[in-house]
Formats: sequence, C-alpha cells, structure tokens
Amino acid sequence: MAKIEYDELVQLLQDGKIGHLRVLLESDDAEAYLEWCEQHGIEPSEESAEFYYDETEIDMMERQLIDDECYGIWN
Amino acid sequence: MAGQKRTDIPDETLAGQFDEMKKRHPDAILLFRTGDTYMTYRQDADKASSVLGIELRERSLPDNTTIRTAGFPYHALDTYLPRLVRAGLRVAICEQLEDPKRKKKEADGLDTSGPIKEPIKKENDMPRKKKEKAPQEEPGKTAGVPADGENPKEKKSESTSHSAGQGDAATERKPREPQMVTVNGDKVTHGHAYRSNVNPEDWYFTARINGQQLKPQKMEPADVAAYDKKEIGVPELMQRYYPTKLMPRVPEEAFKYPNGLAGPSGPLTVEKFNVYKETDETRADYGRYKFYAQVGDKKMSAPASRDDLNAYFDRVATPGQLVERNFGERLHLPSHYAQFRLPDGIDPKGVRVAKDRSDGKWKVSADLGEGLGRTSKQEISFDDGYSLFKAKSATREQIAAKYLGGEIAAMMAAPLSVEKSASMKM
Repeated sequence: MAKIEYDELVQLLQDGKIGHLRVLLESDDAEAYLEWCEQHGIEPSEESAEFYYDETEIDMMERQLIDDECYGIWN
Repeated sequence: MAGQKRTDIPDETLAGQFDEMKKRHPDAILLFRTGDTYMTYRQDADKASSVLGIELRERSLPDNTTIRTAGFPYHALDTYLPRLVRAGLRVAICEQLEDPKRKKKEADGLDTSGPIKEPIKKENDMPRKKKEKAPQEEPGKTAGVPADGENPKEKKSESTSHSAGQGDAATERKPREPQMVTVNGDKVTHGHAYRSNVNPEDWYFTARINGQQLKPQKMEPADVAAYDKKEIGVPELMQRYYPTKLMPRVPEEAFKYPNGLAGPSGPLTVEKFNVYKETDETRADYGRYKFYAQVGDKKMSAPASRDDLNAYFDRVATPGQLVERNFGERLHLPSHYAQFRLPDGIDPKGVRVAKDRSDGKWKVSADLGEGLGRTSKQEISFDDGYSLFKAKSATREQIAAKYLGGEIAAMMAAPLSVEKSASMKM
C-alpha cells in the first residue's frame, strides 16, 4: 500500500476517519514517537499518541512558514 | 517613465508564471519585478491594492481573458514592503534574470523601454523566493535581530542582494552553529521570534532542538519588546517558553514500572503512570489532559497542569515526582506536605484545625499574633484531614501553610493598624 502523504493523514484525522496513533505511525514521526513511548515506559496507544501529537504538531500554516527555504535568515 | 511603459502591458506569460508560483506559495503575496515596477496579480493584486491604497486595474490578455493587476515603482519597495508585512502578509519577491544585452544597452544609455522580450519561462530564470518577510519580521522592523548578536542588516543584505545568476550559490548554507547547547547536550538552532499571519498583533517564538522543530509558543508583549531591544536573546526565550527542554532529563530507568515511592507508613509502588485526554463530556474537566496513576491497588486520575505535562513529555520529572505533585494529597504522602512551610516568625502554636460548629466542616485558621491578627477559616479536604489526624503524614503548620499561605503572606506584608488591632482585642 502506498504511503499516505502527511497532509492527507491530517485531513483523515480531522475528518475523524483515523486516530492519532495511525497518523503518527504512518508519518515520519513514527520512530520518534515509538522511542518516546519506550523512554516513558508505556505502550503505544491512542491516548499517548494524541498527547504526543499535541505536544509536537505544528499546524500546516506554521509548518509552511517554518519550512521555508529562507527560514532563519535573521537568526 | 520609460519602465512604466513596460508594465502597462501585462505579459500573459508572467500571468502564467504567477499562477504556477501561486500554487507553490498560496499564502504569500508574490511581487513580480517587471522592468521598473513591482506587479501583483489576481488575488494578490486585490490585497495589495487594499493594503497599499494603490490602483487596481483590469487588463486584457491575448486570449480575451482579463487579469487584475496592481503595481508600484521599484524604488518604492522600501515603503510598500513594510506595509504589506505589517498587515500580516507574507511576501515573496520574484525577479527576472537580467538580460545581458539589455544590461549593455542600459550601460550604453540606450532606451530599454518596451515589452519584455524574453518572458520568464521557468522558475530558475528568477531568483528563488527571496525571503518570507512576515515570519521573520523583527518587532518594529522589517528585518529581525539575530539572537547571536550578528548584524541583521548585513545578513539581510547578503540574502537580498544576490542576483538571479547567483541564486543557487546564494542558497547554499553552511551548517548552522547552535545558538545554545542544553545541559543534556541538545543543540538549539533557528531560535527566533516571528509575527503571526493570522493575528498580526501576536508574536511567536520557536526554535529547533537537534533539528527537531519545536511547537511555536505565543510570546508575552514584554518579551517581544525586550527581544526587539536585544535585551534578551534565544537562551532567555528558551528558558521562558521551553523551560523543560533545558532541564536535565531523568534516566529512563525512572520510568520502568513498578516504581518505588515513600508512603505515609512505608514504601508505595507506582504500578502505572500515563497521560490521557478526558473524553467524558459530562465531566467538568472534559477535553483536559489528565494523569492516570496506579499506586498499589489505588487507581487515580487528576487534571494535569501545563508545567507537569511538559515535564512528563520532556522526561525531566520522574513518575514518582509527578505522583507526589498530583496525587500526594490523596495518597497522604509526607513528601506532598513537605513543600508547605509557614513563613519565618509565625508561631505554629497559633494554628488551629477544628470543626466549625456553624456548618460542621473541618477548617484551619491561624492567629498570627499581636499586630497581625487572625486569618480567616478555610475548609480543608477530607484527605488533608486524614493525613493530619489518621496517617499523621502532615502537621498543622503544613496544613495552615497549604490553605493560608497566601493570606498570611498578605497579612505580613500589610499588618493591621494599631487602632484596628486594638479594637480586635476588645
């Protein structure tokens, strides 16, 4: 099955068709999330995924700003 | 003006170029340099016209369609660009490659007016989006102040002065030196403040740690002003907005369960600790993040503070510490009560915990002595009463400090007048 683009995952999440756990596990953040779970002595779950997602997620507008190629020119 | 003659004739290829670029940067206003003019098209022209008060025109294209345009002379860029940025808009400047033949004509003093003969055909023909002004705009300026103390104007000049031919070389970047290194050895880069596109009055601070982008945090106006004046830099803002990222992490072993904890009458065992969001809509704390803990056979949950959530996420507090903070009262932990202390000079003998005859509730009050008077009576929780009278893991002074700490501090800061004190004695 082809990998779903992140934007599409977020859209599915917002539509309530998938949960936070699937978003994380199918995104580039999967490894970081699983490592975080291990470091916190918990199993991956919908609850912890939602928390991890909320702590790390940058909304699309911010992501677009921050990913800009000239980001940080003045810093 | 010779150059304006060129801009009076909208180029259908430029319009196509605009559409192509707009797809890639839908949230930015694209300023196209055509001759001596910066032009905007379609929806960008609407915005530019509205914000800058410049004329909005409708032009005919060769295919009998029309396009809205608005433009201003190139030399007015320094005037108009800050206005667009201050309006909360992101701006991308697109310039065409200089035609060597045309350049030579200009050098020879020849008239270079007339339609652009070589329309831009591909993105590489123009410099890349030069800079996203809005997100990096520094408070009160169009350019920002680097936290590392470098001159922003010099940097800006470097980034904006490159010609189209130098575009690729100019965009190559050297590895970024960290702005600070945390006690955990994490490297902080890209720390900066930027203005919100949605609410231009709001400023956000963000940074990367080990290349990982941190969630932007809304800044306090005082911090924005201090950052603008270079009174504070990235380390201070990191401390303010990402304090737990800078604290030493606890070992992973601390999160292995079961986990020991000192109880009121011997060790307790934390069997499980995690976080979840309350989903019961009938509860007052619906939608809030809560900690769940199983200590021994006791299962508990409590709404979590933002500080504790961050501490948990960044692993700078052990589950045992978080249990103490959030469930210490319910578990009657001595460590929970140890945090409460009466101010120096307050005699513990003045503390009274008694059942109020009027309503039958247990309350705490304190007589602070002559000149200060007596505090109000505050009802204590069942668990605190249990800790005081049954588990004996709390003292009267600690209970008083827990419930009356703020009131006592206020009374000590503003003691009663002699007259009032005297009247209370009567």
